[in-house]
Amino acid sequence: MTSNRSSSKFIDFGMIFGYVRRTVWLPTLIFLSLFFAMPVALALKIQTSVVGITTQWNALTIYAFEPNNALVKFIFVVAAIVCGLVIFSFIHSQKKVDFYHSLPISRSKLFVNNYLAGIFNLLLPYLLAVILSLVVLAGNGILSYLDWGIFFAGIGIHLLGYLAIYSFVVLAAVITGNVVVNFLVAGIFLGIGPLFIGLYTWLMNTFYENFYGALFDTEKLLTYVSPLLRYVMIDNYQYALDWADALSLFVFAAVAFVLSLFLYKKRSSEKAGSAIAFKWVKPILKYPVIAICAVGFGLMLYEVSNTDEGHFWLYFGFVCGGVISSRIIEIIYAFDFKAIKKNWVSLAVFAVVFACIMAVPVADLTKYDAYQPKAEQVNKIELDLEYFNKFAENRSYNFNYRYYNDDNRNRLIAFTEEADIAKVLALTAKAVQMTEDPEADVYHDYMDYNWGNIYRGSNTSIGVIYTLENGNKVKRYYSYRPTDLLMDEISQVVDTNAYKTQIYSDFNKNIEDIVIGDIIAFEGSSSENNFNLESLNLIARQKLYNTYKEELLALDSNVMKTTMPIGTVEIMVLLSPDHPMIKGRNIVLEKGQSFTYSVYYPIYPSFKNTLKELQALGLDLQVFEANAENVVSVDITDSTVYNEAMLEKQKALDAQGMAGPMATVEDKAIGAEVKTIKDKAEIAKILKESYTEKAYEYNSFILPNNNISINVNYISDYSDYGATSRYFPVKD
Amino acid sequence: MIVVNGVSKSFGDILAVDNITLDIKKGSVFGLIGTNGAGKSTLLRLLCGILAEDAGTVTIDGERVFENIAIKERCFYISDNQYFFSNCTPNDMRNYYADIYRKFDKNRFDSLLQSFGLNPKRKINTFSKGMKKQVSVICAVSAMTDYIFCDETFDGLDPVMRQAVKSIFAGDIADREMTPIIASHNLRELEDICDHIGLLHKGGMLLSHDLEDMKLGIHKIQAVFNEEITRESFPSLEIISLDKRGSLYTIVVRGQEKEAAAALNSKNPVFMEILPLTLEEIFISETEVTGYDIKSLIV
Repeated sequence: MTSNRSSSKFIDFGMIFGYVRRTVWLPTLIFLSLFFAMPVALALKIQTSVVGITTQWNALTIYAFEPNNALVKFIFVVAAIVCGLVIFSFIHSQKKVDFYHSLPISRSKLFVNNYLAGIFNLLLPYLLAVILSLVVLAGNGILSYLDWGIFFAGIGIHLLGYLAIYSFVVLAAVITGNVVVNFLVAGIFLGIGPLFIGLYTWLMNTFYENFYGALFDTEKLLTYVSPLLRYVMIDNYQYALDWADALSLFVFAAVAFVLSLFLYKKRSSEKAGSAIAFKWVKPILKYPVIAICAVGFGLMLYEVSNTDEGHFWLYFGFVCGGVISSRIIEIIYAFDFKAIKKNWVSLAVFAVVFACIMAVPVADLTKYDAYQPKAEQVNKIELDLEYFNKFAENRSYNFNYRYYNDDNRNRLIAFTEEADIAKVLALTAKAVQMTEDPEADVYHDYMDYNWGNIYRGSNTSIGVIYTLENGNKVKRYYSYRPTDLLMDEISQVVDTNAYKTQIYSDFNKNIEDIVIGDIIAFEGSSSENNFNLESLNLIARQKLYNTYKEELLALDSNVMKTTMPIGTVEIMVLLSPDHPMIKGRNIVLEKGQSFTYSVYYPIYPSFKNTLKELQALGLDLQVFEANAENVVSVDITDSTVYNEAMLEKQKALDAQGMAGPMATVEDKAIGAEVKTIKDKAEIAKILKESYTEKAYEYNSFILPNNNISINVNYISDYSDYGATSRYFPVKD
Repeated sequence: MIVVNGVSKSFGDILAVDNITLDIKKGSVFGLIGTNGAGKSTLLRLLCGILAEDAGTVTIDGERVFENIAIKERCFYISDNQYFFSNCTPNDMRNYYADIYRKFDKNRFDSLLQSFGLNPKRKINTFSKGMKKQVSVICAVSAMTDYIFCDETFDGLDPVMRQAVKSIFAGDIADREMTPIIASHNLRELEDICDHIGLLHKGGMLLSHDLEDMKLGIHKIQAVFNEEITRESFPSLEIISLDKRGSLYTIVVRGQEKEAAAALNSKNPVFMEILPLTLEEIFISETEVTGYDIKSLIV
């Protein structure tokens, strides 16, 4: 160590703060941004809020600190990019490189101290903004409501997010020799992963009808290929520091830091001013970018063309995207327009490889869509009937008076028994058959315009993961298949014991972990048709739980095809400490606090014993019915004729190879017939023959006739519980 | 002692320094001469460890320079276009260097700054080119390093300042055996300070000689004779050049001074005087031997 100051081998705080002083405009700007985004915004929010109960104060006090604060995230992202570019801009200037590299400071130390200066550039103003925000809370007398778990989680996540993005910009700085190229390469580092996944998904979705893409993996994967997305897409139901999030951001930062340090030590001083500092990096950056531009451009033109000439435009886009991007890259690499003439041979070789790879999805060389394994090849099938029995997958999480819905959770039901596998294969075989079936396919194609949905009643998407005997996993996703055409096969699957025990998995719990919440009838006034059972004692709860469980598991598709549920029971499940929502989040449940999720399960008229027990508890669900006396009028909008006409028109246009009738969608309302009915007898008949929208959500076997919508206008003092919108069932 | 052994350095396809070998003794003043693009700056940057050698080695007192902090602490590099932090003052630079170089003499810095009439609190970016050069020289000599690498440092300094800098260098050489290595495209700038010169051309070292040795072997004599004389009049002398202006002959000869004087005296000159040679004249003499037109290589 050569410095006069006391310092370690690599870290010299005097040097670090020297750097910070010399770029003092950076922390100043960051502070100004954070000042308005945190303490000022918090003060304004407090002033404009009308709050009085603990819950709301809790939510308000964490506003400035929580990991989800989008404004703070935006400032951190911009700050990370700017700091990375500014702090390491010295390695892009020959004059500065000569100066620093002539000094008796090792490159490692020079790098580490500059790197740390970039962190302190943000850390100091951020801590100041945090302190001022705490002062705002204290000044308003609400500091005691602050959730310190979220406070520290927010600080941790924001700092790690900054560190990860900043480290990638620094890595880009080290491998480049010019600040503009640094910015571009940083953009590639932060964006190429998501872009690649996005384009892959787009490509597969374009050429494979049964591609199993975004449904399960894409969003999750996206966050692991870019520190930017990892930080931006931190779960929005964050309670405290999620160690998985924190660790992944830390790993991003650590990998980029170690790589940057290693490369900085290898970097030749004379590379300042050139585009790329390492020759071997050039193809690594170039060819993925060319591939992405070629695919992106090709797919864009293919989508825009939307005609039989689509393939011409696809190839044209591939060529244009590839050639233009490669020429731009060559010009940038050489900082010379004349370089446009360079490396045509390597581009041609790349084009051949690219064409071979692209031929696989474009020409479906692997017969991807038609794939269906034989029963003897399959070891296990995991199935997701995406829109079927969706109610069982919708969870509402409740912790400390904060509610979060997890509607996008997908539950894979596993089948391992030979008989069950055969039933699922029958279902997927039908779904595959529909891929080529024009009658079924017409509805699929027109889903964008909603015609199929309106005409058919509803659609089902099926996600499947086949685990083969050889251990390979094959995934397929059969989207938007008309439910009515698959009903028989679905019934076979839904009636299996494996399906029931997994879809109703909340009934595998111990009664100690279960609370029975609201019982709600679909019909009747909401002032009287619901009842809360949370106070039930253990014995009574156990009894009702077991009775309901027995009847739910006994429910089969034959009953569901003919009967609608009349209400729901709320099953609240207490989360165990190792549940993903709790684990790693530093959550300590205090006395009286619980962390639960709720699922609402249907009650059918056939659940005689359950209904009897509820009746004993004071709630007779069967007495609630749609009563014409409470109704002033009913508006019926019948689009049947119009929709059928439009569907025919659609088919005719499609036969001519023309685009869909987008322009006619608005005419739908004009063409529909609206009738207002006030006659009590007629209203009573309509109410009897129709079901509430809610009831259809709980029984996917009876499909709503979407061509005819019913809107019920109740008398003024009637309190409605989702019973306004009704539909007639589809009849054969 | 700096030892450069077969050092080469390329920038892409351009060979900037080609297999150079030379020694620079401690306490000497080494001048690197060459036209623009000859490789002077590259060689300097190799010598002070900014650049790594592609081939060969650069050592100072037996240790490789590149990434050797102990050695680099004994070196100070003054670039052709020295970098100063934006908006900084001479005092800021003093404090920065004082943190980096253990032997940095702040008092000397202050005193030199005062002698040069530079305001320590004025922003350097408001200084003229010459003033910035002065600040960099003051930083360099205040760092009290054993070696100072100067890239075109005297270019831009007025004659008075140039002389002042040379005096400081001379003092440091005498007091503490400082070794300045000075690169310049202008031979005349180095005339009165260097005791060793290396001539670079197209990345290669054309020649490297001790100035005193060179001076000892070459003599310029002005004389007036009663008779017409030619090269053949002195068969015992190795005459490099012989010019006649009016009746005054200017003869440059290689060999011992006494022998030359004796040979010329044998023709009974009316007047004879032995004059000191300029560096340019020495170089012309030396490079002529190797077949180069020195006038196209130096200013």
